[in-house]
Amino acid sequence: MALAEAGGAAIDRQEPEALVARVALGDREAFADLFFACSEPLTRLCRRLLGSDEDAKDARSEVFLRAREALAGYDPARPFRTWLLAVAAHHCIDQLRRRAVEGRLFDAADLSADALPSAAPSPLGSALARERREQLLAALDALPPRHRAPLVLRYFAELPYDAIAELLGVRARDVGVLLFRAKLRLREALSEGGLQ
Amino acid sequence: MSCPPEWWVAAYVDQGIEPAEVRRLEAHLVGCERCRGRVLALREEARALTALLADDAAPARGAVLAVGPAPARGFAYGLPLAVGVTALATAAGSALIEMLPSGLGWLSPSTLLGVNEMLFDTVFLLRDRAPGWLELATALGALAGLAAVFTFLAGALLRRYAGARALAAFALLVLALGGSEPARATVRFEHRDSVRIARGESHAGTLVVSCESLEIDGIVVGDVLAVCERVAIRGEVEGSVIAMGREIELRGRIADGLIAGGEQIAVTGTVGASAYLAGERIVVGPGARVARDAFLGGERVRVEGEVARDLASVGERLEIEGEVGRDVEVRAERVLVLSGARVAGGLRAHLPERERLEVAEGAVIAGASDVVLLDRHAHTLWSRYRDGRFYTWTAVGFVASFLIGLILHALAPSWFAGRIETGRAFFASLGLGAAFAVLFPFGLVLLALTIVGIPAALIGLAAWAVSLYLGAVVAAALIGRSLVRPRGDSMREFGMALAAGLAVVVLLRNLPFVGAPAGWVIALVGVGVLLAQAHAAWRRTRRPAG
Repeated sequence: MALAEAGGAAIDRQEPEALVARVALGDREAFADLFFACSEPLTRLCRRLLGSDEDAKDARSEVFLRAREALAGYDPARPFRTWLLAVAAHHCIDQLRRRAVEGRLFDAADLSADALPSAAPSPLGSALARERREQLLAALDALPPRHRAPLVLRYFAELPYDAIAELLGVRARDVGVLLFRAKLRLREALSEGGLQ
Repeated sequence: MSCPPEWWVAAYVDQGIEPAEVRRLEAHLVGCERCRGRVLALREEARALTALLADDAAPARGAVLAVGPAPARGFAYGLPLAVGVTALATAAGSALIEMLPSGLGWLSPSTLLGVNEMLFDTVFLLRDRAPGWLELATALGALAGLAAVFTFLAGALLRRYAGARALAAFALLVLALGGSEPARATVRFEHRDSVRIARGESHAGTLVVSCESLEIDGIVVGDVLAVCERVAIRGEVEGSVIAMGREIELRGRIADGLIAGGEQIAVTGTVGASAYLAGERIVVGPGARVARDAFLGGERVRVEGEVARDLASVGERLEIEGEVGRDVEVRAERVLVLSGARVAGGLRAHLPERERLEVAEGAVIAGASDVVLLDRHAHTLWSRYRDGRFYTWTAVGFVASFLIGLILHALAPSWFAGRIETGRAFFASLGLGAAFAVLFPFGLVLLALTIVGIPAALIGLAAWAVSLYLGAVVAAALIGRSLVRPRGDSMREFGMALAAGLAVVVLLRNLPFVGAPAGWVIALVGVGVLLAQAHAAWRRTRRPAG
């Protein structure tokens, strides 16, 4: 009886750990609870990666199904939220890849460090970023997916380089080049905006 | 060292370079004020971007992301290749076996490997050589098995209806099991080298025996369950007898039925109900009487005594010299009805040739005797497709599997969560399933050798058969999903996928030549997927969230 009471109390409090334990046992209700708890960052990740609210909504329901099927591979020792975001990132990258010509997000020039410009605008300062928030977000949305995806994966999903590399199907070292190229585009956009 | 490019410093800031490279860069930073400045600026930029993207709900700092299982990217060539190779291999194998001339029947894998004899030999050898070890292992196994079943039931009940109701239900279950008839009957477990109930002795209650030789000269008032090398019943059993052994001999009287499997079975006594006998040589000797039906399956079957009702037999050779009260139905290579035989009903023999039925001069068959020609190839290949019942039963089987799949999906959706996306996964599942299909029955036989083990082994046998069936259903769902590609997991969508998958499975299973092996491959792959799922679930429960 004590066991049942303890279980009930934990479930009532909706502790993430208790929910995760229930999810690990294949409890679909608990999975739905956890999913909706993470729904907001998940939708925003999809929105940032795919570029439109409509696509983000579609992606969200796809990710729900996909995550539920992939649940067997979830390791409860890791945070559920990050796992779920990774599943979402997988899905969105697949979508982007499907949209891209020949299913490729990047070409050789994107990945080459040699083609990076030698004189680049200086890094964005926090103050400037706060000041030009809307402008910066608009610039981010205007970036092509091949530049936007690495940025979102690194600075929103906070994925390490090797995880990003696996998602994008490139080498870990290329991730640095891709990210830097994306940052340059943002810096340029902002400096142009500043001039106007 | 000249100053590294800015993107490299940015990667360093993001912790995106190798430790060795970190050391080299930091060595450079010590002496380069310009690069130190870049590091600071890039770090600020990274923070700014994080803050910008996070809006107001940034994820916890330092969260390490576990990359989920990568869903299949694009089209995997491995899987179709693996399925193709397996299909070709099974087709070639079964075609070879089908086309083998009957004279070369001994080349058939099961005969060649002597699977039956090997099984018997291994079991009895183990019994002889390491009885102590075997007993301990099997007793522990039986206990562990029962404990596992109970834990599973308790866990399932608690999960489903947490609270007092679950405990009440569980208590009821325990009471029901503990208080059931077999448990209360006076069961005598015997496990020695030889067990003998001497003439004049009697045993009241069920007798469960596992030993080298069992001899009953006295009376057993109850049932007998025996797994022994030799079983000899010369006395009386006021119940049924279920026996497995090398040599089984019944000279006395059994009030109820006899179910026996062994190398040699000889009945010269009386069976009060039906006899179901399977073995290499079966003799129902002169003076024997089976009060109801006899089902005899063996390489050589000889009936000299009396079968009061029907006689059904499957095997290579059947000889009838005694009396059969009703009809005889036999499927064999050769049937001899010898002089002195009396069949009160008809005789129907399924034989490869008409001449294979020989009725001697003095034999009497009261009813019609007809031979149904059993053309090996025509029979196995095409004849069943001309039979209406084939389609009825296929449809019934399809509906049953479909309903079972739906129920299972509603109760335990995680059973269907496994998937196969690569050739490697396919072979892994097939191997796992095959290992289970072969090793599990072996384990059961060992388990059955100990007295504690017999009930557990019977439960296990049922579980084995059920899991093969469910394996096929799970595999059908996998096939169906890959065909229909449902968007969701609702009852309707799953049902559509399952129906499509089952249709494919039923079709494959009924193909000539490859049907049977294909059915096995499908079931084994499904079992493999189920086992992998169970293992994953077990690992998850062992490593709870912390």
